[in-house]
Amino acid sequence: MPDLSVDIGGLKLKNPIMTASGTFGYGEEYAPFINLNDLGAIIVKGLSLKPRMGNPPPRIIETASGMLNAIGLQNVGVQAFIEKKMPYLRTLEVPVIANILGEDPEEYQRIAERLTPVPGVAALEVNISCPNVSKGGIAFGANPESAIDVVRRVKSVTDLPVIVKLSPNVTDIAMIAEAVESAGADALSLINTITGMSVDIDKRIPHLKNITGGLSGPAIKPIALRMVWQVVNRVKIPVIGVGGIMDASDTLEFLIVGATAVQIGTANFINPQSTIHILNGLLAYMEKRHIRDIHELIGTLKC
Amino acid sequence: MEKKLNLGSGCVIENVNVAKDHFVMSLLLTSICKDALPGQFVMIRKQGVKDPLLSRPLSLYGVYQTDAGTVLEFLYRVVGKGTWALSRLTGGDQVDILGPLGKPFEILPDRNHVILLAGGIGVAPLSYFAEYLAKDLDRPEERGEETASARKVSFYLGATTAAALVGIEKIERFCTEVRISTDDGSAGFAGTVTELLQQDLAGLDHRNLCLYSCGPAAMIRSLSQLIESLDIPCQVSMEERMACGIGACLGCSIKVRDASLGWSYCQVCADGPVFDIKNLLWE
Repeated sequence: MPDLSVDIGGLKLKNPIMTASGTFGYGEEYAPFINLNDLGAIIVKGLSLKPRMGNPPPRIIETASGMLNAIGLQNVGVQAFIEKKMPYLRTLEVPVIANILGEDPEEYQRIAERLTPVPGVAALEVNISCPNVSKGGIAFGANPESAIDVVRRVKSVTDLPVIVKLSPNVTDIAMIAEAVESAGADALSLINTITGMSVDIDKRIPHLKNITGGLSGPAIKPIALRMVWQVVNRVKIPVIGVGGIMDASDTLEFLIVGATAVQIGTANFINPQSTIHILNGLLAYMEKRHIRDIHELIGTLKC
Repeated sequence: MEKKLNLGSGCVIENVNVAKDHFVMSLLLTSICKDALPGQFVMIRKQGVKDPLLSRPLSLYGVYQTDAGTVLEFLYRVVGKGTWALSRLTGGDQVDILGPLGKPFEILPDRNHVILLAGGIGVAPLSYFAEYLAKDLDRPEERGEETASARKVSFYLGATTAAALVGIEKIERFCTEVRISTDDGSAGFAGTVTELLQQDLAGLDHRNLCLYSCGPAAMIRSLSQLIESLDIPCQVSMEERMACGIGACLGCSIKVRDASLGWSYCQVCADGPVFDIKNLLWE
């Protein structure tokens, strides 16, 4: 049996298959379909300090080889997460990572403070694609200064591994990655969704009530892969690849360019057992080639 | 606790074009969906295909147990890329099914006059419900018996025009009466189906009535206004675009009343698709 274990900034995973925040609820939703304990890690829906209602519908629209979403970060809030969702998650034998978000830098800090002492929270993933409401709505992750501010604040209040999830809607993601690494991030995950739009030609209105939304799915994989490759060549901390991964073959592309682990998102909607099929496909690939350790694959791109 | 909801595969038996843009598809499953109830739906996709990317939600139009397995029937309309792809399926094609999903229609045992009100393709889930009621599937101990409190099922079906009316044969078979309306008067009552109901309600005992509805949002909204001041329980099956179908992605949210917050968003796939009409909020 090949060794698939990886280390993400101090968090040890038995395999590199994680679930992407926003696509896997709070984990229990997928319990009817897979053994959750087979996963490398579960990343839950992004949490804000107070509950968020989310955006008015319509919130989603399918596009060519993908979909746009404008869910609006609807979540139960950190208090309800701790009280109502963590008890079930603690029964699992898989690391649970809390994705956190905020409207201002202080909110990130306060959520990190609340979650750090909670038993069962193995790491934090910081979503810096949120609009900085106090600065006119530009995403935290759009410039190095605001990204650094958020990361430093979170690092100052937690000893949990801090993964920072980068936005692709920037001019130079590698530059943001370097800045975030310098601020103390233990690992990076990229990419979040790419801003996109779709129009109803009969009603002549956007398909999304929010007008724009985040594109995910196979359409974004080449962009995600390119960005992972660029970032891996600029930082020393582990990079988790996200974006359009549908199967083991896609996963292998990300590992080969240098991702230490991957997150599976939209694929869960196509088949709720996707994560397990991917894991089995990865094992089969390694067994066929007598690869005994996943690190014989990671970062082995020849170019 | 046995988990009824699951993933399975099925084989298309047939997929028949019954009217312009309308198809009835039947498929055979060997596992899952045996106990699928009226008001529930499945997420369906052609096996091995990723374009269109997402599965499509289809209401159950019929659920039959046979020696070979469970047969599911769908009556659907081609409205876009996904339903067009489904309309291309033929006998022998393999499909993946996620289901049964959602909360079914709730039967109210002390109300014996059931009114089912459908607009357009909303006829589909209500037809299965009509059949279920007619066969007394919720009252197995009474099946085949003449009961004193026999249930009356009235089906109201509205469409824009006569050519757009579908599913009439099935509802005529299982309902005590069928009331038709067309916007242009080409068949039945000339006007909307809610206008027809309004007329009829005047002559009915509301204490024995319960209403179930499915159809375009505008129709549901009219219905909610019509019965706002009436004491008739009414459940509606709602619809929104879906991605996961299982309450994880939060894509299919609609606004509903909330006792403590005033309002909140609920998921059509997991909190619905059947809702109490009095809980729906309109923009």
